[in-house]
Amino acid sequence: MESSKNTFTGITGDTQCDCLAGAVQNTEALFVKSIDSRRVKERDFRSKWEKGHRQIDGRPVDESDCRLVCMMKGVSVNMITTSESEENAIQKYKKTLKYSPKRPGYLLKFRFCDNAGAVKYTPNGNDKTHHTFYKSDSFALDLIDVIDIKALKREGLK
Amino acid sequence: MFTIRTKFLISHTLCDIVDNYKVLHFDEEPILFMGTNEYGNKIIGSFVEDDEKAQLVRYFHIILKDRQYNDFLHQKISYQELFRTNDEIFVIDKDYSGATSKKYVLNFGNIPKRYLPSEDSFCPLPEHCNDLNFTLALKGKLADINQAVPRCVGRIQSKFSDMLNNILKSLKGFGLIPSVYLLPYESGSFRLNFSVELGTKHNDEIDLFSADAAMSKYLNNFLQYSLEHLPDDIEDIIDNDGKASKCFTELSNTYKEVYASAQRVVPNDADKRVAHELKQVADDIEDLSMEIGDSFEDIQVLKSGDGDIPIGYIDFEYRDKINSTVQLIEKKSNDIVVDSEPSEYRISIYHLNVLTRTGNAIIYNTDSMDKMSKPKIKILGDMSLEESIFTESLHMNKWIEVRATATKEGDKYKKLEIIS
Repeated sequence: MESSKNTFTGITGDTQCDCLAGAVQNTEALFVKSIDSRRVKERDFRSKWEKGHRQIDGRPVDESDCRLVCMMKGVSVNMITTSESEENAIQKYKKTLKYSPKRPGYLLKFRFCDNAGAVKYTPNGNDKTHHTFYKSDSFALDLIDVIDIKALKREGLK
Repeated sequence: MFTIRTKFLISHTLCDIVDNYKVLHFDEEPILFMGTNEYGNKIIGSFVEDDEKAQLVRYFHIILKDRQYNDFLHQKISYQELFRTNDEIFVIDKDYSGATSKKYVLNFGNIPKRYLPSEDSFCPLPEHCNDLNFTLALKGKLADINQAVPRCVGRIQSKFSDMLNNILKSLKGFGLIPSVYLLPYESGSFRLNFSVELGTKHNDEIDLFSADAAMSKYLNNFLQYSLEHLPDDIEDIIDNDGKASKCFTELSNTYKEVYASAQRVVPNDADKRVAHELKQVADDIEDLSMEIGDSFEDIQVLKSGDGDIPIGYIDFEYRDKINSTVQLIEKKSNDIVVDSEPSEYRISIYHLNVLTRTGNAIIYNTDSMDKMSKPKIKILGDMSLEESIFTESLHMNKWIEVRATATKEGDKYKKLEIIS
């Protein structure tokens, strides 16, 4: 992994899993993520692990299951390289809102700044642009270069 | 999270997913998912909310009837529709370790609108599994206690195998010799498992290899279309080779893909060919549907393999639809003639479902003493068939005289509607 200034004890400190294998710093690419409101908040970049979750699918996570542990220690983002990839990501978030309307309803488009952390390519089923972001120990919101925030319209209940 | 009064609390495990868990839509975590409970009932569930203060995650679970499950997976009804039409919607709260904290049962009216899925919350399109393994799951009556009438099961096996063969043989020019194998039953179930292998007459291995996947896709799509859309589209298929139907066009495109993938000339009458095959297969499906009622109430047609994926559902409702479909095909066919008034016929019945009053008989072809047909029969009226001339013919292999309206194709009898 690049950038020697980044440390990741928050990610690696409490697990034997090598979650950062294959993760790189990327300050060039555009990413999108769903967030709760028109303003980015620190909680938008808190991982499930940080929140205290030790379950997925409603079932306890075995801490030796590195695939799940590493998934929960990261934050889901989608890299966008074309208008099509952006649209696909938006459609994913919109679909989520159809089933689960209390999920985050805004789309954040952004770049990572130096020392924000590292991203790993983690495609998931049909979600081919999915990446997992691991925060560095020095991560803060000012290390996110916000390009745009817009509402993800949800079809209203009729 | 919205507050739920304690009077709605439950403790039973009916709503718990214990097996066959599958995620339908994922976004940082499973958002929409399905599985089965300890009794094998299908459950659809969704993520509701994560309460960080209380350290609880809330989910909805709905237990579905087989028909609802089929319709939801085929995008005929939305997830919101499931909320509206099910009396019980389960709410499961789990703590951050995954342990169940509380469970409740609500109805549609109890749930705050802001938590309900949207009107267009249809099932995501499944990743298509186009292998050649199929299952017919018989449900209801004797099938639910793992019994069935052997002759009935034998006819279903035979009819479904013939149907798969006929669909594949519609792919002309490949010298295709499909083989349909019956796989072992699973113990404790009433499931008939089939596997199809594609072989050829001549040495077209290269062509078949490149077209193999396309042929599988065509077969799967054909089956699904027949069970889900054929009755609704039949008028358009008869009058217009299906041109007005988007689903028919998709099916026709998979037919063309078979030829394209084998680098053969794509038939320019592909629509006509597919329309013709659908009209033929309607008859086979009607025959299958006539078996329901005696020892089981419905047949689920599934793609077997990594979890069952519903292809279609044959129940009493579908049986009536396919029956009307076949009647319409016959009515509009130039080759089929129906008696203008009932006549006398001499038949011997070899199959009879006394509940549905349908079956099959043998009859000599018109003006023939050595060729016979095996038309479907339907006995009109509601008098009991027990100890009647019909069951006597069936059990004693006896020829009987009946008064019936016949449907003929050329000199062969296709159907007899028996009055007495």
